[in-house]
Amino acid sequence: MATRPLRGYGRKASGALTIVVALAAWELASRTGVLPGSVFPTMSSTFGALVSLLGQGKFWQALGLTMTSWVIGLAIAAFVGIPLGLLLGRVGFLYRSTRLLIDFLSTIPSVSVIPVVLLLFGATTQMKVVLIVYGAIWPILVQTAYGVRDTDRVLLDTARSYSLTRLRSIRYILVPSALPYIITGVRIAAVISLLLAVSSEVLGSAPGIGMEMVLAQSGGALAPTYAYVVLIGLVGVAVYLAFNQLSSRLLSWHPSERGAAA
Amino acid sequence: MKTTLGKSTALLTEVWLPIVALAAWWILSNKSTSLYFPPLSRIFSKVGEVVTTRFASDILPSLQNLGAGLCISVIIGVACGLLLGLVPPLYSAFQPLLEFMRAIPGVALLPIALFLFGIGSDMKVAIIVFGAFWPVLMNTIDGIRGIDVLIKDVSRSYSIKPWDHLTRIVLPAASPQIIAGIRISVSLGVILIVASEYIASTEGIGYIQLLSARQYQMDVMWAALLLLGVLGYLSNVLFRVVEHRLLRWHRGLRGTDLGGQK
Amino acid sequence: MTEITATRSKTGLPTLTAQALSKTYGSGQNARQVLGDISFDVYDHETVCIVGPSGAGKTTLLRCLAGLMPSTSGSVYIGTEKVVGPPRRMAVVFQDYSRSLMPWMTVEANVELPLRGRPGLTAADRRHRAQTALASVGLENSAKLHPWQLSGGMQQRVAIARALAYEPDVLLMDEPFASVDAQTRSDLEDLTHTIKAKYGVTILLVTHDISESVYLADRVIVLSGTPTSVTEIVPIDLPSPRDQITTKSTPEFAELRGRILGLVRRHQPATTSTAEPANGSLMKGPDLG
Repeated sequence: MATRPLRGYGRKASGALTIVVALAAWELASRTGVLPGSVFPTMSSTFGALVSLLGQGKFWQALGLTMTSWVIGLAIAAFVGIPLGLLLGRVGFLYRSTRLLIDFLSTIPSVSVIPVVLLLFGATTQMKVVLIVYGAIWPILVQTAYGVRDTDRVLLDTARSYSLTRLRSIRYILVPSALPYIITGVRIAAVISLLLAVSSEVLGSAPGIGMEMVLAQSGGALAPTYAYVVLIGLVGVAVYLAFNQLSSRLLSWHPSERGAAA
Repeated sequence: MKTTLGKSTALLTEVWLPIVALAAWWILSNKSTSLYFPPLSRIFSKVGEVVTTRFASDILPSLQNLGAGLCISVIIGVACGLLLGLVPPLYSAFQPLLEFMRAIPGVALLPIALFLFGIGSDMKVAIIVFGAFWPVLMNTIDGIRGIDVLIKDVSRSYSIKPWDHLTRIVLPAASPQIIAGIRISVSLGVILIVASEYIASTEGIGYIQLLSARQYQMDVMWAALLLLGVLGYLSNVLFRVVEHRLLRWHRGLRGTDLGGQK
Repeated sequence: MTEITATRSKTGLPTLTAQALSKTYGSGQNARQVLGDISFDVYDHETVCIVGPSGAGKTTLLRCLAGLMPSTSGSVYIGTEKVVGPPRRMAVVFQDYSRSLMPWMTVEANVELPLRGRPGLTAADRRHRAQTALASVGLENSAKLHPWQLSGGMQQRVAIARALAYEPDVLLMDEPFASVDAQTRSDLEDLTHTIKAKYGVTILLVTHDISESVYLADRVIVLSGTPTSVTEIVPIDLPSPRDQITTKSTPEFAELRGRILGLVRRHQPATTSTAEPANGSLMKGPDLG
């Protein structure tokens, strides 16, 4: 950090300046009528609405519902997807047998499952979780299997020549060497999960921050609608940053912190 | 003789599970009276019906909007990516803003898109562009920033003309990443076209699916879901073919690199 | 072409001149001088090799000469023209062939690329020039292949063909044969002699291999010290044509090789001590054999 402080600050300053200028341009454009007031609130009124949302218990409750379904869905997808991925990666016959099916199921646009789960579970958190698990499991499964298959043969031969037990070679060799891929899979899944959590609320009227936004929109409340979009964006940034942190911490041992094939 | 046997075994390994799954669904649902899970035979006949009677009215508009949205995303994404990738100060200035914008799930913008564009094709195309543009943009920037310095030295020392530098060096060098970005965009695009057809629409495959779900015509709903799955799958396959042709050099390069190192 | 022939004068004016070249990275406390006051001339039709211990800033020097990097002070001239950017009359062959050729283009397209957009050169002319250049490095049958389908030595031949097709007055080569195996290396050294004879190009070649420098050069510039400066310029009066076996087994060759090796080693910094021996007079290097 101490070696190149000036350049780092310069970059951050220019980034912050751009955001300030963009916000100012928004304010100016909507005040001068370049952005029509009927569809575009001013920046100041949007952020005013945002601040007042932050002061409401209703908002935090909705956010809590969204994030709860996100966490539960992602956790289930990981708990099911990682072991299954290890199995598929290890057993070549299973890998080849399931490839076409997984390929097809994972390319079904995940939002199109919403009408089905909506009918089966109603507009509930349960429905959201099922949807998220469905959408999030594929990247985790596929990446894990890929990571296992990419394990260096030399490592496995070493394990065998030292007669490591099967469980230990999974624990000490397969999982660590597939870890970069698994984490990339979970990271992709986290973003998809958030998209699906919001989608199920916007499209399926499940309770949560997305539904609040639709309510604001259908009530014609411009500024709160935009404020919700900004907030959802901030949640997205937070998820993104959190997973970056997580992966750099978990993979600190990894020489290149390499990315995966995705 | 032996190779054909080997090939057919390999093919069999790939396809037995999908066939068994389909057969199981067919048999198990054959006498089904469940509202939610109608016989597969009926779903198939509905697929035929939808394809023949509603191709021009619903399937074609979906494909057109998807195609238009993706084309615009790719063109804008690559153009902006070139600019930001080739001018580093510009990139560091815009990076935080872009990271925020792309963290907004496309679906969260549906309410705003309704304010801005109302109901219709414009809204759907706009939603696709906003959601699918980011992977192309970010990957183009990454691809360009990752170009080997030596390649740039070669270009400079041989005084390659700017246009040739751009079209014959920069774009091809970044193409593996640009194409990986487009690939993500295609699957996001399919999700967003369906989502936009759910929320406010009078046409499209997503619209058929949602409408039939509301009217409890489950066979039509499943048929539409299958069609969306096929659409997602086919767009993926089509893309892989294009990728395969365009990046032949990249695979060859990596193949020899690996061979050289191990 | 006419202009080029005119500048290849017989008046003894150097083709390439480095004049008091120095390069410092960073500034203030972090300043690190890599090149200090380097001057030399290269004359028409000469092959000059630059040798020096590893880490002697050879690549920095080459990048300054090629106009890819501005020097901190001093200047480079081609003929009488001062080098401010990559000069048209110079072509560079880089060490890492696998990175300096465009993998998405065929061999032929790689060779033709620098010729595109050159006034008065039609597509047919380009094709013809590329064919000729490829033929002179023995790759006329590989034109339609991609670089990654070729062996390392063949890839470096493509890079040489690309430089030849550019028709430079000066060919700058940065450790061109450092990444190929020994057999290929001697083949490429001989190829360098051949193209020199055929194209009459002036060659400046950076290498860390002393035998190679003696075998190829008319003169060898020995670099050393931190910051790097010219220790000595050794004329190589071995007869031409040279041959891998007979030339390399002559006593003259061994003597020159030993002398240059001595020059290089004597100036190798013994430790990382920044106290730099003035003009290298402290000569007890650690591995002076």
